Amino acid sequence: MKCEQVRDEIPLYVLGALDAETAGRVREHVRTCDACREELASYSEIPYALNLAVPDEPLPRGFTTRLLERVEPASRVAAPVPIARRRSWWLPWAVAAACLALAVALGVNTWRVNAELAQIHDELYAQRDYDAQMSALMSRPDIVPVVLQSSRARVRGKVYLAPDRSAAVLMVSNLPRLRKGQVYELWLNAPAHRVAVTTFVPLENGSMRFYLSPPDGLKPYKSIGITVEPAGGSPAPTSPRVVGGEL
Amino acid sequence: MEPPAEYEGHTDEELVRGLVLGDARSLEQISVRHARPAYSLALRMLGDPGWAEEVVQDVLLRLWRKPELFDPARGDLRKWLLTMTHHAAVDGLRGRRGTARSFDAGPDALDLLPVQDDDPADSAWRSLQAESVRRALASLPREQREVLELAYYLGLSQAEISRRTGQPLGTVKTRTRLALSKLRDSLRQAGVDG
Ligand SMILES: [Zn+2]
Repeated sequence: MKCEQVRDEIPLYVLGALDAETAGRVREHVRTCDACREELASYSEIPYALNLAVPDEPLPRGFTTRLLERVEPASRVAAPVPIARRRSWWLPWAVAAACLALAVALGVNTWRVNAELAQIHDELYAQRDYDAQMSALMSRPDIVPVVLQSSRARVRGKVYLAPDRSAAVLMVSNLPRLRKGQVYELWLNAPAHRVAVTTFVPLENGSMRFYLSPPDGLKPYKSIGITVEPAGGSPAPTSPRVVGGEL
Repeated sequence: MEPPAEYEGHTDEELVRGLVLGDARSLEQISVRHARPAYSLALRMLGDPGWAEEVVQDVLLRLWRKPELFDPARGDLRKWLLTMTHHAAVDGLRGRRGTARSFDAGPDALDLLPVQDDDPADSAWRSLQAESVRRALASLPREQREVLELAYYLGLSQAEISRRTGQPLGTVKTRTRLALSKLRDSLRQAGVDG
């Protein structure tokens, strides 16, 4: 691309209005051309100015409260979490929170810090991989569905186990709304020990899904259960299972 | 819910350090301080209060979960939050239109540039109030403002704008360029005068 063409494209580039190929050529050019890079820099504050130029709207009532309700209680410093609880092999999954859940589960190496856009791309790709992983498991003809028992009338729970028990998807629905200061906690029970997998707050509609792939698989675990616990979780269940069963 | 008063004195950088430690109060203070302009932007773009709230909360939660994404050396927190909100809203809009990722999403452009500290344009915007940006936008000829807004706030490609407005593609491109360079010049001027 010649300088003249690049100059023409720069305003569109800044707005994000170029197709990927043309944008790539502009990027390539400004990497090596000081004059055009300077021209690009002269537009660098435009996006921010446009971000500010919108009509000022008041935040909806309760915005920050609802935001804080979405913060996983287990990740707050206010209620210190035992190291054993921080497992990377569980993955809460829900359509609305899918990307963010991934951010928790996949860890640092997947992302390039400070390359924000690249990051969104990566996340989408990771998301797709994850969806693929999950639907690959769910669509296996030999998958083993296990219906869980519930102590509450409307609560439903089901585990879909890979036949080799390497991974599973847990789906629960109609979980009752929690009172303030409470969370649900997910447990896996082996004959000799118990693992507190994670605490969680279900989606608005009371549903939650988890993708479970412990390093040692699910073979060691004989049962699974969900209880209501004080915020931050408990070292051992302190209330009867809301839903659970043998694996 | 009000964050404790002592957080009001914290700088954004201190609040972000709080996030690294898992302090939810820091997130609360960041929301109180910066969520409103982000929400205003999302609402302008998405036109739906519920959707706008979700997008802004997603951005804040993403910062909560990965505070290291924000690099104070590359600009201030509000600017970062607005950039992320814009990206997320454009993604949402393009996803809904089924044109996701068919073209480049913009301000990563600026990743190529040196850190802005000594850039005169940076101090220019700092001295600008949102109001003067609005005035600069409002002073553009209507047809130029229209293409600019369609491109930036709705994430439309030039071809999509051409189809939507019934103007030839070349005209759309010319108007967009003119709009942007005029806007740049009036921002510069505001920076110099302000
Ligand atoms: Zn050049």
